[in-house]
Amino acid sequence: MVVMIIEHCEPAVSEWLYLEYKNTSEIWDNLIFTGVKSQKDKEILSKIGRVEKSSFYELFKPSELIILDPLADRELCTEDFASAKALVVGGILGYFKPKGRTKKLITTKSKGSRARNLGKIQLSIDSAVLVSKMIYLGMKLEEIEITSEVEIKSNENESIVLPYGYVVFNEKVLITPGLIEYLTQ
Amino acid sequence: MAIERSFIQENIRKFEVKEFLKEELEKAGCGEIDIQRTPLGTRVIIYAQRPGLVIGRKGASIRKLTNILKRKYKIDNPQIEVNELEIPELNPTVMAKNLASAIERGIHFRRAAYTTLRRIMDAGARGAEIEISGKLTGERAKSLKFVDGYIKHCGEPAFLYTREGQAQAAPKPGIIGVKVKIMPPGVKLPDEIEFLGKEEEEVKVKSAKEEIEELVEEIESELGEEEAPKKKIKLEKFKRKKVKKKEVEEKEVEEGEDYSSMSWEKLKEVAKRRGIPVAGKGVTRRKIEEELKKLEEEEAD
Repeated sequence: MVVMIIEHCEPAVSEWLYLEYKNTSEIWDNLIFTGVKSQKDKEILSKIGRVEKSSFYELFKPSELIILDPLADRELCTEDFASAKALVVGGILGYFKPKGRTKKLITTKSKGSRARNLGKIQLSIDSAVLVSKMIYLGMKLEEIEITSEVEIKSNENESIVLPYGYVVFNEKVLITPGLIEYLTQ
Repeated sequence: MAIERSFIQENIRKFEVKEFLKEELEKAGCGEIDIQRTPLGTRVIIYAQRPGLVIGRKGASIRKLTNILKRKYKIDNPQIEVNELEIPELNPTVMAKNLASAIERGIHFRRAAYTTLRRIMDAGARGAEIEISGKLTGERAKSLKFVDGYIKHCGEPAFLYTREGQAQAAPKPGIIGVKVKIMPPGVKLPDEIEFLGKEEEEVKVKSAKEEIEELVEEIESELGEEEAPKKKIKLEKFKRKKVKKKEVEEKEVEEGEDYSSMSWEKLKEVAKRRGIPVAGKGVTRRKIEEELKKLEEEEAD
């Protein structure tokens, strides 16, 4: 199976980020966290996957990599996995509107590797991994239903809107487990 | 094509003028800006919370603004009119700016949003929605919506009635956007239909005479034509008796009143009816009351 690499780009592992990383480790078995410089982050992430201090471009050759970048020209398809050893996802908690940090922090660092997108909607880290797995298993991107935003009602007067893509499966939105509790606490 | 372009150019200029004035008059609590073309020139109406700041000392500020509009934006003969916002709580731009400044001052966004929402609703709005977007808790960007009352989001009513305003707060973690939507009071939506209710019946108070006359008519109709002449004399007597009884009752009610608590005008009226003088030397309220009481006692004897 192709190795899933999450290049950790955030300054610290926050609760939200940890929930997404944890869900990712449950979706994809062969998972490596790369670019983890802080000892504290290393301790936290080692519970859910393999942790590397060095970055992904130091571990794999560019020809062996597929980078998931929203600004890439081509969409990811099942055939791409045939010649790849690893798939790189940015460990970035995004802005809305996206600032293109994946391109700046990841794609430009490994020249010669293939960059692919997962549609125009900005996905959460775990959703991106889930969509990648669905494509890896033979599905096409058009066949996967993705929401453009999710609204979580906290009470009668208040709601939280997450402007990120989440996969809809069997008419159910697959949100990161524990995220609703964390946001509404 | 040229006409379309001129319309676009005109609107771009209007937009630029509005942006410039909003930025310039931020401290004055500028709410709305209306630009109208008139045969004499261009009228710029500014609705502000503090019109004094727009006008300036001896009109210095307004004169400066007029010059800028004339020179920089090439507006012919600009006439600036300043109006005070009657209820600033119902102006979404003002409320969005207030909320943004509260967030910048370090007040927690949730607390500030609820305070703003309550202020809008207390001013009588039908509904309000506040949306705060950005890296609010420092991790991932998200939006928070606070809603109260009834607000339209789409269709013609939303376009016609929902007022929108926005502002930006710039705290240290990054820019936070604030959007405020207000549904003003007194809006009648097309789906609100009123059914006309039954007209209220006039309650007519009948006098004693009318009541008895009606009663007599009823009895006459019940007796029929044959018996009527025989009973007519008896009925007349009955009628007179009843009227007298009712009048006595009315009189008793009047007499039973407490003179001390009666108003001066009413007391004078009662005294006049009883033949007690109400004007002249030495006539006081107490005297009239005493006379009336005496008369009452004599009648009782």
